[in-house]
Amino acid sequence: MDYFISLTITGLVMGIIFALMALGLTLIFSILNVINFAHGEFYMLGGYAMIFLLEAFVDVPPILMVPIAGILVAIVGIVFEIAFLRPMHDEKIERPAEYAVLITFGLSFFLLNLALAVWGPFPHSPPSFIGGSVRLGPILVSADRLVASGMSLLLLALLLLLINKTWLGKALRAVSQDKQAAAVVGINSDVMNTIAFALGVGLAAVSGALLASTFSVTPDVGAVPAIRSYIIIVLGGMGSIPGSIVGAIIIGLVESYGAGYFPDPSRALNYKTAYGLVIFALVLLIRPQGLFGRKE
Amino acid sequence: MSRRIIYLFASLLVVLAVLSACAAEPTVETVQVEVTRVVEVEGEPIEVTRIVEVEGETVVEEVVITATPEAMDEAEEAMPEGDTILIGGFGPLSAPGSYQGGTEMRQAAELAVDEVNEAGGVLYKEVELIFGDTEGLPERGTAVTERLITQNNVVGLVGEYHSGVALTEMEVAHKYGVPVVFAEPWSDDVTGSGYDEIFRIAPSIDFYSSIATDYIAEVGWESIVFVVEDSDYGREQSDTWVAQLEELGITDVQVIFADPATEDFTPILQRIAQDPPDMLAGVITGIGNSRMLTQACEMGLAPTAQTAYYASIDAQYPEFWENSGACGEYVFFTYVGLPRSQWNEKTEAFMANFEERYGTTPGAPALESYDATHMMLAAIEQAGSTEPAAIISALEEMEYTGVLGDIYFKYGNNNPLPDDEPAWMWHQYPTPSVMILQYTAEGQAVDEAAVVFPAERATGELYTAPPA
Repeated sequence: MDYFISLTITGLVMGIIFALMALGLTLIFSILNVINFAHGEFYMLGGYAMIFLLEAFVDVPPILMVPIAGILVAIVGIVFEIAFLRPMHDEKIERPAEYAVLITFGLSFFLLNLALAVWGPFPHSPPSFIGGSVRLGPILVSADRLVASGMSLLLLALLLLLINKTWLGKALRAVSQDKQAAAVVGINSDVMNTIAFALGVGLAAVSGALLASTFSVTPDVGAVPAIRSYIIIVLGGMGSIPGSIVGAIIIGLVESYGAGYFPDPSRALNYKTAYGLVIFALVLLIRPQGLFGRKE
Repeated sequence: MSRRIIYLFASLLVVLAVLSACAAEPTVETVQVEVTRVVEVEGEPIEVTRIVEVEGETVVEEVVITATPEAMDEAEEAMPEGDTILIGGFGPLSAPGSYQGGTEMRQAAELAVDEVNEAGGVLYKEVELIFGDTEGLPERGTAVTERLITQNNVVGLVGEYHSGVALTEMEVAHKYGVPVVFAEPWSDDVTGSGYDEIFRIAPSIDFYSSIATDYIAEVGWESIVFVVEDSDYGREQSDTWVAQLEELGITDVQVIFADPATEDFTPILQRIAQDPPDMLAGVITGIGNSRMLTQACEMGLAPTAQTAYYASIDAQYPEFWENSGACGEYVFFTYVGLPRSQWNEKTEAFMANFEERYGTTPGAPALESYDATHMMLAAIEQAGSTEPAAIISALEEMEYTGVLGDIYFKYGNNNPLPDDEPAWMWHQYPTPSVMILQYTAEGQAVDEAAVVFPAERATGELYTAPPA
């Protein structure tokens, strides 16, 4: 029983952190109707921003630098959105869907190679938030992971508050439902797009900043989290915020239980990503729109 | 002036010109070829000598030609064309390869080439290194090797970090007959291929593994868990360890495979923690090395008084401490290279020059790459030619003192491999320096770590356990 509890705690802790990054992707998709294929690179930039900030401001508690890292990367996102994605929504691009795929892929390659050129290939790690471990029932959990998970919960709560209880959230939801109708009531969809993109990549960057001390940072560190995020948002339902959160927790738990209970321990870890994909495929067979998605 | 005088003057000029032409002796420009080898012409050994243009200055001397025309032709054919000798290097400079190892290998090779050029080059020609990024992928290794040979026309190849990539690269080199001195890949199949072109100065997996397994038996550990990267290297390494440990009577051995890019090892570590072993090994190159160690440490699994932790060779790099922190203390790992007490002059000079130039302490792959590059260039110089067969022959006969000690290849065409020797001993440096190091303090440099095994090189206790 202790073993099951320990796997559950591990899965929950990671699932909450996965949710933050997946939520960013969902936001971008639901407002801009764009799959951001550079999402993993914004996660990576968040990690490097954290390292840079902590080197520049040595005496500041690392946790305070997390939102700043997110804001710095969000600014990068704003510049990109205005320069490359806005023409798409202003109907200046002939085939916007294909354009969005290509431009975000291009950004992904650019950011990855820029990071390689600037920071080199070697892994780097910022100082820990707290360091050490905390006993949670039968297991010792990394204190940094608990901090990351707690911060993620807080940010998820704030985001849900923003989306559901503020004018900005209403405006974002209005744009995601019907751009023209939103424009009729005076909502500037271009501004909402920019805000959504900034929020989305900012969340990815915050995820990267929170996990930098746990997993270290390399130019390609965002690849696996990005793939996981794509799985989560489809599993949860494209554009569904509750779906992203539930989907992320499911993936976190499935990966943990899979590695912990797969009959052949020599392969258990190798197939970690596959467990989530199996659940993903099963859910889509039964419910093609995802857990919380709307049927067409 | 009258026409007659002009005609007379012109005639006098013509006569003078004809007389001059007849009287002039042809300028005999003789050149000497520096003796690089003895050439056989019709069964007779002939010394071939010539002075060539050196740094833009042409030296012309009247000398006795000491070579027959046939010998001169043969020597001319053997001398490489152009002003540059191109050699190729390959290794991982980006993910998913172990770019740490690949980068320092490239840096060491460049340092070696610059040193040779400063000393006058090879065969009076400048050496140029072209280093290809194989990304740690076999298909990229094939493509890079093809390009280096067919488009860049390199005369030799050095380097490579990953065994899986080396196994594809050597096939391409063998196809084109280009000699290779592999610096770091350990797979027995590299030299076990028996290809004439393939040489290796790194240890084979069989030899490398035996140091670790002998150490495990010496300490007295009985239950072992290996978490190894799922690659050609990882699979061969784990198979070898299991077999060697079984021969030593240690049978409680578990192997768990992991993708090198794995972020979260916690679930499998929790599984292992249900029955903690005497020794946990994290044999994953690249960033996975520190991730697994840190996560095992944070959950209280290893390194502890109960469970020792054996890390991959990436533990030798300074970045290990940045990414592992205090968890790196008490970790031990296998190291290829000379212990500090046995550094020769070249080792001292290389370590100092590398640190000055690149601002970092070189690891074992850098030392191997440096020696491999120097050996290839020395072989070309010794051969007096860039012909593959001549380079191969020179390598087989070479006894080279490098930063890793005295390097030679025991078995080759000049000394056939006996039946009772393993196949990987072909063109293999038979006695590479391999030892077990243990960190006994956080932030320790690799050359300050205690050598704990083999006993004859030990500078510290056999194993220092963390406090209970």
